[in-house]
Amino acid sequence: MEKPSTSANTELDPLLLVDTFQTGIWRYLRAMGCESSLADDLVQDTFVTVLQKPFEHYSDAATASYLRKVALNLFISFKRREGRVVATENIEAISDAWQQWVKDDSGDDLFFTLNQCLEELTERARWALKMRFREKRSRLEIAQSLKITEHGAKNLMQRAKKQLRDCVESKSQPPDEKTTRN
Amino acid sequence: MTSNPKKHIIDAFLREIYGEKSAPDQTAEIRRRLLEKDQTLASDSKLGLGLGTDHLESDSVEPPVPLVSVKSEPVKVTSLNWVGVAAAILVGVGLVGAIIQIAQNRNPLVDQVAKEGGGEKDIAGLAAIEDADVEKKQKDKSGRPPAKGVDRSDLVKTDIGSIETGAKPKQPGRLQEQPGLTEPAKGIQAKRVFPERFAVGVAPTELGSILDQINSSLSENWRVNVIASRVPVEGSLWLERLFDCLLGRAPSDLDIARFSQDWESQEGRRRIVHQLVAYQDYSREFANHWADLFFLSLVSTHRVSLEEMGGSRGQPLRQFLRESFQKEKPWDQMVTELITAKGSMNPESALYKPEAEYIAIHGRNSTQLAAQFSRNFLGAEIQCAQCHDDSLYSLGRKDFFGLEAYLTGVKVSQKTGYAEVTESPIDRKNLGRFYFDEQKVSIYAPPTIAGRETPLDPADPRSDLALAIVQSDQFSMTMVNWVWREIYGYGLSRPGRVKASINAPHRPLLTHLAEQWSASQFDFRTMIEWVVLADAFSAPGAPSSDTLAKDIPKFGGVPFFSYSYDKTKHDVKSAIAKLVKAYQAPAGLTLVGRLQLSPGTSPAEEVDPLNAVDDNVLPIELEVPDFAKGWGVEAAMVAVLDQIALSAKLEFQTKLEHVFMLGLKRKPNGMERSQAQQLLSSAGTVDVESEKQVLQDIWWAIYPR
Repeated sequence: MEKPSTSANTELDPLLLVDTFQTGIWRYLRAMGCESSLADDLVQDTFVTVLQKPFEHYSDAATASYLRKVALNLFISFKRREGRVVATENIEAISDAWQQWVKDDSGDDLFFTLNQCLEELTERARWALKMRFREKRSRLEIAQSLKITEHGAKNLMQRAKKQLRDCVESKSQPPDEKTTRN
Repeated sequence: MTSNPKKHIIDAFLREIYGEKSAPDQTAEIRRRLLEKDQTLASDSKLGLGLGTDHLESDSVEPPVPLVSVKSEPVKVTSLNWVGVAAAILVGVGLVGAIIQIAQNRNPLVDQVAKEGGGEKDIAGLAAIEDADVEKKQKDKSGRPPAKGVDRSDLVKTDIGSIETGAKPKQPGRLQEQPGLTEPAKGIQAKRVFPERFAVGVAPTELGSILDQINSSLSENWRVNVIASRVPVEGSLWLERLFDCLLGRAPSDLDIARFSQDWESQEGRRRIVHQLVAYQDYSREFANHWADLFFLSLVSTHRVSLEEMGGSRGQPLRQFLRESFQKEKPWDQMVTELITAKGSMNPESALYKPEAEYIAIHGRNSTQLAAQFSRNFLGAEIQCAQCHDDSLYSLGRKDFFGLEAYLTGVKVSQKTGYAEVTESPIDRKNLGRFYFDEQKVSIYAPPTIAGRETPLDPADPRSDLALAIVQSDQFSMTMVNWVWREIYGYGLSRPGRVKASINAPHRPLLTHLAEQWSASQFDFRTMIEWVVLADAFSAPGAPSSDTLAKDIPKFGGVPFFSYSYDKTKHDVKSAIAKLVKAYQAPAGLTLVGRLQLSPGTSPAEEVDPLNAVDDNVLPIELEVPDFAKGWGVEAAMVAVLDQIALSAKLEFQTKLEHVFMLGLKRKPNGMERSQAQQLLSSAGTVDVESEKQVLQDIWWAIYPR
């Protein structure tokens, strides 16, 4: 096992740890399909669980990964207590995607990249997504509002999300490639 | 079948973007739960010890919880560890300690205390050791002892302090409120006292009350100056005006359909304004528009060449501002980050710091930087006071050099084509500056900000500078005045002389708004709501005959806001918005300034021909003379077009790119390029004048009306 750096080990500040990583954990849980209020609780549980034991901070990436793991276990435990089935292969796939996309600890970068990508969508597509995600409108209602068929509304939103994914992919170039390009 | 995993991530973020719920700050709740748990923690928990003296003590919410619940006792041999004593006889005293420790399951830090002090020590003793460790760390990092004065980490770099005191958690980097900040008593350190924070003790009032204040103040001025109030504009025009001011564009059909139910009633208008500034699909647009306007105000009055931009061309600063506005960063925090920034403009560098570009642009020398800070954040044109006391603005040379004293360590250098801002500590004996007066007598100017002497930490002067600026009344007044001016075309006071007595009728209102904004934690959206919901925003678009003689700020008079100055303001603002969009532009194109309203100066002074045209710089800085203000967008655009077309240094195809970017926000395609070239060939002689004629024809063909 690689020996952690001294500075990383000695400067752990628990509340700074919470401050730094809580947003990322919350967003990660939400991506896993966790309800927002449950995500609130599980974020608290994660830090309370982790910080009750001796904890060593090796690096931000390692700590973030460890915290996500703990949060995920808590989420799965909760679902099992509820008697729900948890599709683990899907969870692993989302975790991998998260690892690939969310480069920082909080997800702020992805948040802002996505915001930028939204600007590149057509107004109709943005309007459809807004009705879907903010106003919780049904596909039929969206279709009626935009004067298109229900199938058309579905296609519109699918294409918009695909465009967003592609846009995020193109903007989230790994830093290695950037440096080697020079 | 498993769906695309990235879809789940996109969906989660979209839900957040579209306002379902954002990640909450749960630090306080986690802290509370940890405190509860901590009372039962085993004494060997690293967490318990880490939190015990540093982070979990609270004066206001809960009593301090001693995490090491027993006093550390010197090592004693008890009946429980006779085995250990026997072992000590055999293998020595050192081993005894280890065995005793195992036998008692002791806390390692308790042993450290015993080792350091040799006797009984309590929590205070632990804290003292930790203080010493912190000091040692600081010394190790910098190679010199920590600077005397307050611990900057408490002031600028962390929000843990707010958690400690049970105050509302703040965002990282947020300045704490520090009324009459004084240095905690620590040994021989000098006492550092900042002037009292502006508006301390003022409670934020409700929107309705603030609007009443604005409306009554303006209507009182109308009454005194015998200006009749008139029927406000109808809803559709009001909405158009609102969109123009808040988003920099006209409302679309979709927007009109959405808001037409609400725009007639006052309550409905409040809802509309709130949606434009707070709802995600508009708020991003709102944030970007205002970030761009603020960017222009930060780089204006200074012709920035490509070289001075250091290869970064304003993009990092603009991006920083956009993100700050999108994150709804409080303005004291954002401005603090701008003032204290250091780092490189190279995005590939580990030292990359986009906000440092503000210093990189203006920091060629400390006097220029002092003038810029004063202009942007204190609303005082202080540069004149470098050479003489300025009685008009009540500014003296002491004010100038007192401010400059904070900036003498700032250095902007060029590394691999990018600017880098560094700072060396101030090592002169006197922290202030000396200057010669008219009689050649050397005068000492102590560190001074906003007319008040303030502390200066030689190791980190700009943090003190930022703190003193954002706590001053001038900062709050300047920012309120800037927003008012952007929305109404004229400020409540003159820019550059915000605290001077000019525009006196509006001073009480400006002071009140500044106090309220400070009390509202410098929340930008809150202030915008006050300004656009005031009755004056619905004022008719043209002056009545009786008003015309009394409310004519374009001729240098006091603006009473009895009618909308939009023919002046909105046209120029729209032009600015278009130019800002064009700024995204073809490779090598750089915005270097802004259109400026400069009432009070003669046209001859205002028309600036923009002498040097760099190959890579589009000189957009135009002073719009009074007589040209009615020309509107077209005039502004034609003026810009002339700048491009008449440039002798740009190739025709490059000029064509500029024109397309201005009009259509894209480059011309191959066919368009060849058609333009044919037009030029058909003009006969190929010179700058014929190029201009062709480009103007193209412009009017593509201009989006």
